[in-house]
Amino acid sequence: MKKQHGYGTNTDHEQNSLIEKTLKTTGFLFPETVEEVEEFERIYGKTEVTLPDELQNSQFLFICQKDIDFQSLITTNNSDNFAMAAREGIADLPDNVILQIKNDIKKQENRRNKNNSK
Amino acid sequence: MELAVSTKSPQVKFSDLQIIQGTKEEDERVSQKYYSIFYHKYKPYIYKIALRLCENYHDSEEMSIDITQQTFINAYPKLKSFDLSQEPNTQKHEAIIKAWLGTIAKNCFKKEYSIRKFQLYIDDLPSISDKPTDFEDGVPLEIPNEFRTKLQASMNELTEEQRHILLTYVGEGCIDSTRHLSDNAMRELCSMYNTSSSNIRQIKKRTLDKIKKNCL
Repeated sequence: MKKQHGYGTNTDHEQNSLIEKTLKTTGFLFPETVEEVEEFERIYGKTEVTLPDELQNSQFLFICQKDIDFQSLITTNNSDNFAMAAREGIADLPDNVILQIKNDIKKQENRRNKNNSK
Repeated sequence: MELAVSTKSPQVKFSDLQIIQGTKEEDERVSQKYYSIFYHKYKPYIYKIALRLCENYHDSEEMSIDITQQTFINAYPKLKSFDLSQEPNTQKHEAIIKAWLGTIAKNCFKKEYSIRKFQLYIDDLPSISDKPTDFEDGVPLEIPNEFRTKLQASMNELTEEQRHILLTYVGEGCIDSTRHLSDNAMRELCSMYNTSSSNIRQIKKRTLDKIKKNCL
């Protein structure tokens, strides 16, 4: 005889589906389907969050290749990527290096913002 | 498309379709202004989930900020191929966008977690597709509130290692024992916890059994 579990789940697969859906609509994982988003919003949609200063401005999104301010980055310890940019020309950099440069800039800005707010 | 608004005019409302189309404008300044509107509209949603996701980690706020920023940095170039016009029901647009951002944010979380835990260089990590698994509604599954509460409590009792391994399996759609974790994801877990793949599978199984015992 098949074992009866809670919440109408009879099989391992049904139990796993229930756990998966719950995790994705409870904030343990990001919802990835419309149904999961709607369920998450139904429960937590009205919960307000206070956004930190770092997220107020959208400028960090548009630090594109030509806008990279090398002067402000001289003091960082992530000099390998910038050295490559200087050697090979910024237009020829691989995407992963550009992404890393953007990350480094973003982290630097976050650090600066934090120091300023102290 | 004519841009008649600056990002400093929040009283002017655009539909999601207009915003997405605006971000695809060839004029970079116009595209960026629309993307700013997009960012300001959706950042609270991503940040809210990131905060919940990271609440058990020691630098949760900084990690949540990084995940939010990285999600929108990664999403910008991908928006060019994001098509909302196929969904005629405009009321679904917001949920579709959030689901799409969720797939990007999930990968950002994985990378941030790995980087923070072991200071891995970003290129050492496997690339993961940001393609959502499903934009369509599946079979609606009612989740009883009591179960939700029990599961939350049970998750909070797990160690960071147990929680991370289980969430990696769930995030990859491999919670069922019949579906195997990708080689890249398994390699990453083995290297993080300095253990074998069979041990990782054991931890996942025991963690899942523990949750089922507590919640079902």
